Amino acid sequence: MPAIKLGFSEIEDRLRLLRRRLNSLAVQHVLYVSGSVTALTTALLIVAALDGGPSIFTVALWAALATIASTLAIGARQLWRRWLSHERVVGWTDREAHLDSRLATLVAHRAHPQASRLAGLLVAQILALRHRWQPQTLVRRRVPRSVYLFAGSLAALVATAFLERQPAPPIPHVLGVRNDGPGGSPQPMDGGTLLSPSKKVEPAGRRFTMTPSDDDDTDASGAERGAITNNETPGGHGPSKARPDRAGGAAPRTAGDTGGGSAQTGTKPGQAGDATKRPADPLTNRLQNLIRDALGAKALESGGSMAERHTRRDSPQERQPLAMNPPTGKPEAVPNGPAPNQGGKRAGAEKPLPTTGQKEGTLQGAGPAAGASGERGQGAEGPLAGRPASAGASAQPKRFQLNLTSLAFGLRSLMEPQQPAQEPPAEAPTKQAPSDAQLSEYDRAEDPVVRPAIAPEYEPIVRRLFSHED
Amino acid sequence: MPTESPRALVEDFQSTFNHILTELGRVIIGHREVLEQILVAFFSGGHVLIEGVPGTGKTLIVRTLAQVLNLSFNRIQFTIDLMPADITGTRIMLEHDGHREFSFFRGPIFAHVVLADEINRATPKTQSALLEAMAELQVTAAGTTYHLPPPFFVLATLNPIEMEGTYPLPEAQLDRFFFKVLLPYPNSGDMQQIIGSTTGAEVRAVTPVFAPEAAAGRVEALKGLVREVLVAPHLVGYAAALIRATIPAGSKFAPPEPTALPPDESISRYVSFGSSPRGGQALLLAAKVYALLAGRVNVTYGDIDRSAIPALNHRLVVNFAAHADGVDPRSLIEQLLHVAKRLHR
Repeated sequence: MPAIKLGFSEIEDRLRLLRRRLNSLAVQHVLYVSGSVTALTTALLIVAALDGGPSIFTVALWAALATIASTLAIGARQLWRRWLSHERVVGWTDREAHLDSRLATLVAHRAHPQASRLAGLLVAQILALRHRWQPQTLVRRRVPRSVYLFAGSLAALVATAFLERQPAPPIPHVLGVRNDGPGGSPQPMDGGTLLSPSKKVEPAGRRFTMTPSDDDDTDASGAERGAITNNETPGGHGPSKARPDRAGGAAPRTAGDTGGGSAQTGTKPGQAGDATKRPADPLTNRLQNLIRDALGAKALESGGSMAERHTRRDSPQERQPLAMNPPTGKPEAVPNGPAPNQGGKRAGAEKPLPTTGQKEGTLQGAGPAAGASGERGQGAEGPLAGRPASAGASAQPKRFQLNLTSLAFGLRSLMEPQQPAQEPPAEAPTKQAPSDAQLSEYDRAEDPVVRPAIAPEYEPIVRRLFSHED
Repeated sequence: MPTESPRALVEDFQSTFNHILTELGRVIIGHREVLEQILVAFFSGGHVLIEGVPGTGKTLIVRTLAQVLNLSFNRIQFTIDLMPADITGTRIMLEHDGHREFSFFRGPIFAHVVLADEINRATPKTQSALLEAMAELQVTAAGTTYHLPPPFFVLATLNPIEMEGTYPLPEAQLDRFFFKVLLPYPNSGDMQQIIGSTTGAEVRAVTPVFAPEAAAGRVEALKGLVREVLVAPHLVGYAAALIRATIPAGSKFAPPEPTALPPDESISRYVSFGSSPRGGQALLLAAKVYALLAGRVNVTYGDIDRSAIPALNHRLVVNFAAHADGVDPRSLIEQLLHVAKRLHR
């Protein structure tokens, strides 16, 4: 029947067009919804990278990945279910155009012809009702409404670029220097003011903190002020309780967890972690810093975000020492000062230790060996014991400050010829702390603090920096 | 004279059907739906069981239909002493030119339209004779098979109130009826018109739709057109799902396969036996007639739904619990259609 074939070709063309439109809409819908979820998730991730700490960012990152993966899976399933075959398009058109199963009957008749004189009439009826099932009428939209959702999500993503960047506020009463590898440049730990960039700091992969102005009550001995400590508190002040969850040597260490090994527990440096947060994944940390760099925000220190550090500082154990040593504004390192107390003393002690004549000793405790030894408050037998102060140590103190977070500093220090790092001094036999030491109750409860090892070439600098200044 | 054009064929079917209906309406007051169902079954090639109280016009309907169609008509009043040979015919000895021979004397079943009045009064043996003729469209007597003249249409009436001395039709015999139509009491308006018009001097007459010599051929042509109506596969599946859903889930005769429709608790509780495949055939054939009446050449869901109750209500064998709870097959089918309409479309 030529008439049937002629009419059926038109019907088939329409069905093909309808199918193409419907499937295109289905694909677009899935893509837009998936893209919207991805964009929104990315926006939230950026916000987390900018305002949250590594732990928050890690959680956000994994949640975002899970959300995106789920969305893609659901989208694929939706697409599988919404994808219309030729038969399903026929049924859909029959329902939507109220064709009373005419199309399905005709298609079935074409596939399996029956002995009927009425097929031609069926085609004629379908064509007579063509106004009901025009593709432009049945599928009005070429783009699904979910495109608005996608546009809104993109707008939200773009809006994250205009978020106000919160500069990392300095923590004035804590000075930290970190060097994460041999030959590496010193890096700030708290975004504050630190040592002169021209001065090389111990490149032995250790960190130490300086407490320039605390412990005023130790003036009598002079041993406490300016001592190099390995505070365990974020602020580097006061006693801190032994925290069993600080183990985690792979974690980037901060000013607060610069402590070496514990003499009592025998842990090695680097095993002591930060109790207030879990160690961040280096990948996520790098990604977060990448995002922050890309968006013009300062890269986060490995110690966590400012919020986290503030949170840590607000812990009850640490609040008291902070109250005793209120922030004094910008930290000031005092180089070239006299170094009457060069013996390793533990910072943060509430009461002065008796001056035993061993003040002039090595700065020890943070090196690998020193951490293992767990020497606390003793420096008499260090390799630098009894060394005289450097030539410039008696000069007038000069105040300087440097923001170590500047990129220029990092680049410059990278370009400067690196002095060969000396091997850390051999592990010196440690001396057990006197049992009758007059320690505060915090100190007694605290793990022995091991002093960081200072390379000999940096020792004059350290001495100068931590020399007592009235 | 119908032309070969499909559209003309459909229009001829519609006009003929409506003409018959109009002529029947001249005599039969009210009961339009019943008349329509009877005609649907007639053009589908099935037989109809009419159940109604006495005096509601069952016999009048059948007789008028035969007159309108201009087809041969016989009436068999079923009684308890009616024998099968009284229906099918018998061999008698006749003498011709000095010698005798047996000759088959055709019974009242040899007609186009047969009225089996009060079929439940005859014994099962006699009922079976009629039902065999209905199913096979042939009669066998003394080893000789005699074909019944097409179209062959049996209208049996059933009196539901006089149960004493009756033999209820077995389910297997009920299954052979295409439709079972309930003839209710006429409403007050129809009642008034019936009383007034049948007690006067004027006798209402009908005009035959077909010429006597062409009637059978025309009816057969229209019945053939019905079978040419197209059905989409998913609608065949829908009819099959409906039939399958009438089979109780716990039945040992139920096929061990999941049903397209969820098992209905009412069906499981009240139905002993569901519909046979004959019920599905009746569904689709009746749906085809309804489609032609609507001017369509394809079946829709609505056509199947419309034919479900008359096609299935006598094929659902309900149990004692249904009788005790006052549940009839009609309500079960309506519930089934409601579920099917919600889920299967």
